[in-house]
Amino acid sequence: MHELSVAESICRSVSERVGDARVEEMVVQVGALSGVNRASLEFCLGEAAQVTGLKLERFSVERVPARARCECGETYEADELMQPCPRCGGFSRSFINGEDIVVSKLVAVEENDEAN
Amino acid sequence: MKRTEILDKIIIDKGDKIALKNRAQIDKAGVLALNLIGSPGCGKTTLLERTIAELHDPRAGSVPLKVGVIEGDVQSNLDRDRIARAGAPATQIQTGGACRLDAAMVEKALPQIPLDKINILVIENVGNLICPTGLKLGEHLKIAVISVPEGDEKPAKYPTVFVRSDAAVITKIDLLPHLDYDLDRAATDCRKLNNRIKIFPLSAKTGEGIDAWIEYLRRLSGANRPARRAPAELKEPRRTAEQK
Ligand SMILES: Nc1nc2c(ncn2[C@@H]2O[C@H](COP(=O)(O)OP(=O)(O)OP(=O)(O)O)[C@@H](O)[C@H]2O)c(=O)[nH]1
Ligand SMILES: [Mg+2]
Ligand SMILES: [Zn+2]
Repeated sequence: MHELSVAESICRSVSERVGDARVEEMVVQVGALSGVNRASLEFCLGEAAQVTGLKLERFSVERVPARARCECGETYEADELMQPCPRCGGFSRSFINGEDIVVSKLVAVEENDEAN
Repeated sequence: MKRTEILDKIIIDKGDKIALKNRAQIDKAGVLALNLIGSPGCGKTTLLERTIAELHDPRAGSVPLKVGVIEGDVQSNLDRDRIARAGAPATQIQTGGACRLDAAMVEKALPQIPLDKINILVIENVGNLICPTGLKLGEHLKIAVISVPEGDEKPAKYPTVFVRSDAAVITKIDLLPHLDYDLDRAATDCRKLNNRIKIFPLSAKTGEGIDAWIEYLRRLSGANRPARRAPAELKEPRRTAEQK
């Protein structure tokens, strides 16, 4: 279950960004080639937030399909990795993106700002 | 109370920065580095023992190449000891439960390998066909290792590692007469996932097919070049080049 250490990296990166602020909402996107299981990561994030001291309220993890670019010029979504090119039917394609783990939405709330 | 929405995306570093540092250290020594990925018991260490024997003590006409090995297992030093008996410098990483090696573990292990005395560094990942795939350790090439007793559907069922590997070794082909394994099917599926993948069916036990694998390593390690450096084709990681 390497998702726990991935979840900890996510919480640490977010902490660096928001400091002490409370995270009201966070959306994480995992690429289909990232080697991370969506449901496990979601399960681990709550735990990781506690371990790292991040105040995390609402969060979700979405899986992003890999994109493939074929030598014939076609670019297509290839969630099923053995799917041939829809245009030429061949397999002469390389995968673009799909490897990254990205925090795509982050809403931070700073409580102790008495000016407001 | 102040509410801010952070609009730029935060890309999580999966250890890529440390992997780049490892890679720089390996490149500086002119060493070729491989990350070996395969299920428990598929035959990774046996393949290495055979590879070390062939490279250290080659047939007439070839220059000997020295191999160093970083072994990754959940527990024990058994594989390190096997490699040491085969005559190569070796060190062991015990992950203590983790299902894969990461770049930080390799960074700690690297000083135990005499990079200036070897040509090829092999990192044998923890036996697992899935989890090690997502992480870069600092290697030039990822090598998937599958074996005949596992069945010919492995590429179709565990596709990611094949998409990301430069070569696939299909080992234990000496067992083909005893099992219903369709070698063509396994190879075809590998190529459907990755049309640039090199495929090496071989037996580490009988030595059948081993020559093509050894030739591949020799060519990539650039042993016959005057200056010891990584071949140009290895400098640009090809799949990440167009990544944004
Ligand atoms: N018949 C045959 N048996 C092999 C071959 N290669 C390995 N084996 C056997 O397969 C078993 C496992 O081999 P290892 O090399 O230890 O496998 P491994 O992938 O390093 O295993 P882990 O490190 O535990 O993941 C041993 O009993 C080997 O003797 C081969 O080419 N042919
Ligand atoms: Mg082993
Ligand atoms: Zn096409």
